[in-house]
Amino acid sequence: MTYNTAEIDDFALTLPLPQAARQLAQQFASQQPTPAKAEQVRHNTLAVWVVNDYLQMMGIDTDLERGDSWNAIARLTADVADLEVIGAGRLECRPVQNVSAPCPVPPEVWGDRIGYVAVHIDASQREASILGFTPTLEPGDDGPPALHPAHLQPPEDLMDHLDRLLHPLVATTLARAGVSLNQLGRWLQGAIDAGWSAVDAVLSPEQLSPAYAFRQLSNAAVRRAKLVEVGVSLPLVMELSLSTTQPGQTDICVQLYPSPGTSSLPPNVYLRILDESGTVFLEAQSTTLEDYLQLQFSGVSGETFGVQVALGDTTATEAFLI
Amino acid sequence: MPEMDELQELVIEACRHPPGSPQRQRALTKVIRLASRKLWRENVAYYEDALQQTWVYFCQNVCEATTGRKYDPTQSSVVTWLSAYLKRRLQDFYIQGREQETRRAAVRGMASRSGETGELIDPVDNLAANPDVPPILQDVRDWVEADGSGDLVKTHIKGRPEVNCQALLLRRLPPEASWEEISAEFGLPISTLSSFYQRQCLPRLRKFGESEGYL
Repeated sequence: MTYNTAEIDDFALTLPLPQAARQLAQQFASQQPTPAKAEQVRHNTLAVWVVNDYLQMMGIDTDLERGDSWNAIARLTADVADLEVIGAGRLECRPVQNVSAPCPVPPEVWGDRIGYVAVHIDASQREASILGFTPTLEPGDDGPPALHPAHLQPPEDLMDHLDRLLHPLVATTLARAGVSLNQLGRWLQGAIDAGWSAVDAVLSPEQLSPAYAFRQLSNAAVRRAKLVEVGVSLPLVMELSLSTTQPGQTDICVQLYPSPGTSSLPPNVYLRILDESGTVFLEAQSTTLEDYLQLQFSGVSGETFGVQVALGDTTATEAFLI
Repeated sequence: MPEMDELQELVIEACRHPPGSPQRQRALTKVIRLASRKLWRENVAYYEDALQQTWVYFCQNVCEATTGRKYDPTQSSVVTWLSAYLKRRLQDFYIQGREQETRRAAVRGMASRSGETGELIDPVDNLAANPDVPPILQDVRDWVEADGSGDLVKTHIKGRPEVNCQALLLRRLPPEASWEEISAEFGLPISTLSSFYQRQCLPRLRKFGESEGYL
């Protein structure tokens, strides 16, 4: 693969390495038992430092101390240059020696990263250049994953990437449209967002029949319902129930009921679950005389999703943060 | 100068978007990239410190007055504004350095008067001396080899009891065996080994480190 060095010069972002960076890199390096390991740690430290400086300047919160690269034991036993971006995950900041060749990435950092930043540290160690970033690794010449200069995106693309992770689309697009984010973590602690009521306050006694009880999530910790308007004369009822039977995981069941007092949903009503990018990942559609629709899925804390009810051209959407 | 115009335009573009938005971050990044080639340069030990402070100041005050006065494009170009700030920081470092020198000279003078050697004490010399063999490595090795609770040996790749955390950690302690060597030795793909190492072995090691106060 050919690679245009002039191009990387065009988008590399060169930042200074202050004395404190060099001193800290020296301190971390001096804890290593071999000269090769010491050099690796010195470069990893400087690479993380400069990316951290850049993110801080851009107003992005990081936590250096939480990274393996800042942990004395972890950096001794692994070739790591990770940086925790608060709310997004761990970014790997790889020091690159030769800017025009694929840079191998150590196996211990192949997984569990939100992206890889290539950093060239000047021989003087007084400045470093952020060459670019890639959200995923490509296979190297001889197979293993590597950072390919030709596949690097300019450093500013990292800003968009982090923004997508920090402010998932479904949340941001809906926030722009004035839809607020329902915080399910808080629901589980008893703080329910405005507009949601106890189920029996919204559904009619007929709807709360024994059949209703059957379709419920077992061990639901929270059940709440809300009226949604989708261009029909009467509002429909959206119900959400949550259960946390496995640690770290929330099971979510979304149901759509006809207006209280009516027996069936209008035909061609869609109930959709949107993922973080706003893409539909689950969908149910009413046929004739459907008395409810239901979708069930699981998520982990920090994930967002949208629930959309659509009929013809009109939609009503609610956004949720688990 | 056309580049000056480009910088001004980028500043206007940055400030049209709210702080922390990717649009502003993009434009600020471009300004830093372009302006850094044009800023005042000096070959002094503290230049990078002064420059780093200049970029922080730039990001914080180019659109809103956060830590200083807001940039006024009618008063000066971006490069002139930043170079002026950079020169002030360089001067601060110079004065700080002079003051330190004066204090050291005073200490040296006193020491000489009291009949002791007049050696300079450099703050860098005061950093803890590093022993030849880092004790941390020996501590980790001892812990891995002893495996007091048997947890490291018990935690292994499914169906391969010999490929356990103790075996892998011992091989990855520096001077470490390469992943290729370990892969050949156990006949398992590197990705299987490294993912197991990352998910199972490193967290155990970190936990040990925390309990020993290595953080």
